[in-house]
Amino acid sequence: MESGLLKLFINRLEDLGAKTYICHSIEDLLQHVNDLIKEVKTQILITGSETEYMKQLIERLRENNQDIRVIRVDSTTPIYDAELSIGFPELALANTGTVIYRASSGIEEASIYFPEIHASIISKNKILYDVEDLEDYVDDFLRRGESLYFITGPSSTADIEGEIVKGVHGPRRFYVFIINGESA
Amino acid sequence: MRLEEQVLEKLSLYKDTWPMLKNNLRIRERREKIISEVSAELLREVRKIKEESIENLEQNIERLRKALQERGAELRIARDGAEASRIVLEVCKQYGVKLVVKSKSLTTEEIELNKVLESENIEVIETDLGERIVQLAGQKPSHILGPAFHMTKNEVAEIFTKYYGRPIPPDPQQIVLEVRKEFREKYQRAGMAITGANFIIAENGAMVLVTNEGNDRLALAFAPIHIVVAGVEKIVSSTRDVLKILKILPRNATGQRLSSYVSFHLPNMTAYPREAKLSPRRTIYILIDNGRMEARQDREIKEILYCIRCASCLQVCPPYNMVGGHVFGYIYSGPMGIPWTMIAHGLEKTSFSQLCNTCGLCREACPLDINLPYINSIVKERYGKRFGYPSLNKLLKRYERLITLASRAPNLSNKLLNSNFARKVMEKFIGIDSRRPLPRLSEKNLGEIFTELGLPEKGNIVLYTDLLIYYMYPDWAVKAAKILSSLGYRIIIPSLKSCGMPLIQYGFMDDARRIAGYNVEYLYSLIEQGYIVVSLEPTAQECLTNYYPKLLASEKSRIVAENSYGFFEFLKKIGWKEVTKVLKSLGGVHVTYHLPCHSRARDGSIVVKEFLEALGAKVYFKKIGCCGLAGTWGMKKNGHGYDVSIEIGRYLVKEYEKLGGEFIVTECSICLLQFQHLSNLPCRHPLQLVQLASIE
Repeated sequence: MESGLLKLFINRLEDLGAKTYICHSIEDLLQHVNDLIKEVKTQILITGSETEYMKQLIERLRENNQDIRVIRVDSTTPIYDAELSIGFPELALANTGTVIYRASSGIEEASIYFPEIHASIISKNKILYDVEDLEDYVDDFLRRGESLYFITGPSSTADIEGEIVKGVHGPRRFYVFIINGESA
Repeated sequence: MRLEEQVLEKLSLYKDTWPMLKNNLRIRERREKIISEVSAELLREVRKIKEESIENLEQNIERLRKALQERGAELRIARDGAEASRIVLEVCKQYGVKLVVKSKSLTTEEIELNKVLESENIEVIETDLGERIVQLAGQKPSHILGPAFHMTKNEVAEIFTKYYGRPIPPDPQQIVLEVRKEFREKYQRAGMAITGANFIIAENGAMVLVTNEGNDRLALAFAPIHIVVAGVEKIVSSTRDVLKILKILPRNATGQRLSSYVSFHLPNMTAYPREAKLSPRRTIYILIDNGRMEARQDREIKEILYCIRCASCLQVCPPYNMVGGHVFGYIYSGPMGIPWTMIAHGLEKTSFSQLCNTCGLCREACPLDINLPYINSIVKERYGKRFGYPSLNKLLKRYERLITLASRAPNLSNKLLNSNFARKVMEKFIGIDSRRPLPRLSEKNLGEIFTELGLPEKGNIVLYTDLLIYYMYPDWAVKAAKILSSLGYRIIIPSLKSCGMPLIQYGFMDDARRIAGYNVEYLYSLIEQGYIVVSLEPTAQECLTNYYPKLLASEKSRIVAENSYGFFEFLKKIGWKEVTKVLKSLGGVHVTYHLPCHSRARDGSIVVKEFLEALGAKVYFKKIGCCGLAGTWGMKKNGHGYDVSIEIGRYLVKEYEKLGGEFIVTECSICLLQFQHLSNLPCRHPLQLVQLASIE
């Protein structure tokens, strides 16, 4: 049974043009990620905070001989041609359909925004209601010297005759996999 | 080119396409759907946040300096644009920067930084799509959020075809793809990113950016040097402040709950690795004064510093939506552009303020409740006193004398006003456009009619009608008095002066203050005797409740404002149940209702619509905006007022005629004049539709 917050989060994301999937297990997640990976020909970037799900996903993707690169704060190899990045955000906001990442280096930032496709994997229990619930979290991250990046749907513009076009600079396609249950 | 010529040129260019209006209407439509999610309490809180930020600016600058030092970044305060540009250029030279990528560029537009950098052969790329379009076109932005809102996709395609040297189709999707591809290489090569900031947090040094395209993110991700160029007023005290403002900024600006990208960006980031090496990114915050500190001491305009650049005022401004920001603006455009131009670029650049018709919709739209129409009148006053008032406005300042004079021989005056010759003379010597139909003077004015009716010398309601109803439409006031009388009230007609709106509109604030002083003294003495003030004209009511307290800043004006009601607002206060008892039903009548800009009931309701519905009428209503006439403003000849006014009204009438009413109904005598001029439908005051149940 989906909670009210989760339903709201999914509705908002879909209104924004993001695709959402609820995953009940690592197998479930892997299945969805594999479906996405099929259309990608380049190395896949993995970014965000390390969680148990992240470790398991990396392990399984490597087992499948998938070409992946885990982005760390001190990564130095360029990422110019990556088509897909998979990120593990810190938090999400249901009422706005937002995922929130932390980063402390340019390469972490670039790995989220540069590829054509971005997929976020987040646990249901990291979803808050709206920005007013963030005060302590944001201050905490900033105190630790980490910047925060909110993503609410795909990159978009209405600069030409008001027509909304997706994917101006940031990702054109945006996926959110929600882990229903344990921490992602 | 003179202002009125520029106006006519833009009107002809945008005729029937209304590009600015249509883009803004799209945003307004999205905004309307979610704006009720923002509570009045939150808006008050945000206003307080901004008030305190400006009040504590010096302390916040020092807190920010300390926070930035701790994070290895630098804070520079630039007195003006030249100093800011010089700092940026020095850094470029020091690091041998040849390519700069920019985002969130409004403040750097203000200081015209690109010119300085380009003159030193530094390539500057505006990365926001709209900014890039106007950059390539060699233009300034026409809208603070949609810099290229004035262009068609064909024009945009032509710009990129010329730039890329190959055909680019007029397809926004395709154009975006081309730009995306080109910019990915630019981001990686750029030696410096220059961004503005939506907010800067004093307590931790974070700069907050709000965008939809994500250009700011990529510009910053790759750049080894980051320069923030922002106005000093962008500093707020805490993270909490920003989170509060974020609840209202995207909702008002673009009708989104949150923009696609919001970042709380600290300056201590590691730069993107170059040649497989990591290094700290060099960050400099340049905060610009450029007139802001002086504005902070200026009691009359200080509150414009609370502006969060949401552009809500641009969305609703009728003349701006017709001519765009290249005419209605300098670099900052639209209603907020008037004071911001004065602050940043000097009073001499604000002659476009004459295009503001003082409809007041900007104040209604502003989430921070900045009194833009009043501030803009102050700018007009200062401009007029320094450089001279436009001669047309000086002539129209005598409107009350002209009408009073004409009313002494109404029949003769009406004949004269209908003659082509007289109208041509009026156009030449007074400046009233001969195409504009003028209202006919009544044979007897309201005072004379009331004397004949023998109404009581004492009562409990002062019915304030203003000039047009007094001399041209006294029957409406008689009907209003009879309705109030049927409801148990006794009416007196005061010997007040006209409300003075044209004086406020053209910035004759000393004259307006004198009139306000007279009217307030008069009404205050009646209120002390227990009277309530009821205004029949929405504009008169707007003067009593909004402008007089600002002009006089006195306790008496505050008390008069508190005790004054619009006529229909007062009927609502009595109760629709009681009111409908004394009036005949309007069942079966279908009307299209126009809400005048100055009709603002205290409870925010649309009272005349409620009134007509309470009487059983079917009311069609679409909130679009101002009728365009705005008193004498839309009577001024050619590009001074008439042509813009007609273009505003034409769009409105086109939309209204589709709605399905048999009449256009509105309670403002000026709006009625405009609709009678432009619509094929009959146009009526609500009081012309209703009949008293007992007498008529």
